[in-house]
Amino acid sequence: MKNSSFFKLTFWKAVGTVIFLVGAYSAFLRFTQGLGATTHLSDKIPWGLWIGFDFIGVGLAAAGFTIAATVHIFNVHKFEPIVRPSILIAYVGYSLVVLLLIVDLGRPENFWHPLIMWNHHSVMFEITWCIICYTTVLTLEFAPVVLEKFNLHAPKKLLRKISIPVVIAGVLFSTLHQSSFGSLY
Amino acid sequence: MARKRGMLFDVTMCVGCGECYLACKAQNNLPETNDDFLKDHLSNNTFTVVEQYGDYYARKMCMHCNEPACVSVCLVGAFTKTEEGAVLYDYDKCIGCRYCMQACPHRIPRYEWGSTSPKVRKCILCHERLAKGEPTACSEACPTEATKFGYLDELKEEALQRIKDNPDTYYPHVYGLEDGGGTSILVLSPVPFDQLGYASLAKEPLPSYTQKAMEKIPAVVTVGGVFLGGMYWLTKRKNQIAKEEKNK
Repeated sequence: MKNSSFFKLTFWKAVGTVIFLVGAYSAFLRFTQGLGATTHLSDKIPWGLWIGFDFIGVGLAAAGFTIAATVHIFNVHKFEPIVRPSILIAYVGYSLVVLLLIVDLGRPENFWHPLIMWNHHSVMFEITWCIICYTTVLTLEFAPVVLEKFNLHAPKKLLRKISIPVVIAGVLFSTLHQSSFGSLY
Repeated sequence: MARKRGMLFDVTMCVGCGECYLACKAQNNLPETNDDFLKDHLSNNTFTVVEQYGDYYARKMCMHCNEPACVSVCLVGAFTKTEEGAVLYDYDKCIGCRYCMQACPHRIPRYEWGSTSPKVRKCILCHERLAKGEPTACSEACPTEATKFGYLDELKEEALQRIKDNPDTYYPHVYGLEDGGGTSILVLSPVPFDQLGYASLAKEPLPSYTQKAMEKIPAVVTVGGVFLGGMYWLTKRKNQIAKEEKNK
């Protein structure tokens, strides 16, 4: 990465910065004044359009588990070079989804409740847990990149051993929750 | 096991006085939201309303369903159906996802949109009064007994009897007997219920719809896991054989 061109102002960098600042300010307002003040949500419309934009991250990540499955489970190795970038994109996608979901919650400080308070009849419970498990899978799939950077080869070897079950789990978790969104209704 | 309690609301006996509305406000310490109760609507500060439909007045409130959608969909289990019939909300568990609001077929739960620590709000069937052996505030306030509180099995019999004795007065259906799996609030009306703004529901309790999807999960996991494991083994073998053929 060339130092000089990183800080150079371009048109799209300016646009991106403006969008980011507006978004950060909206998030600040949302947390200090509540959902009513910052969204047009109401008793008639408790779920709004923004959730659709939030879950775009999930769609991005679908490519992640599909490529991982193609290469590691179906052994089509010619796509190996794009596995790492797609896992990275999936990881970024899911991290954004979780962060934005927390903003949408009426009581974000309770976001950890589903970890210990369970209602297995609820589709949303299943979705939440599959997202938790899949993000864990993504962490395990992405970990080798980080471990390589820090030259930690022993943990990387361990990960290699469990990688096939991990990829299979990733496909299953993704299939389950990405299809369950429809069942919510 | 406690005997189920409920309420019977008879549209033909309601004169639209609004005493139930006022009693509910007083009982739950709710502020005034509209000086004309007929123009008010359910909200975080209004748990019951009286709506006017031409010559008729129809009360709306939480139906305290037998198999509530809200209880089924809340992922942290903040809603519970008590033995006596009331559906209650636990604020301490709530994460504010608002799935209950989306799921309720009667569109009952309302939210405190203006708060940074919002609660879901709805009728709680005067749960504390019931514990003391008292009836609900609205039924006690009703001057014509249009809203009647009592044991649910007795109210069901009475509702069916009223239709039998006065076939010309009533539309022949007890709303809440079987609708959506049945509710603790029964309604009698002279006209079809959708004309008074009551939700039209099939007999199936709402949670049964998502149950059909959820119960397939173990099968998906086992079959899927076996299939993917099998594909891994097969394709690895195929590559291996191709490599060996090439090396020959």
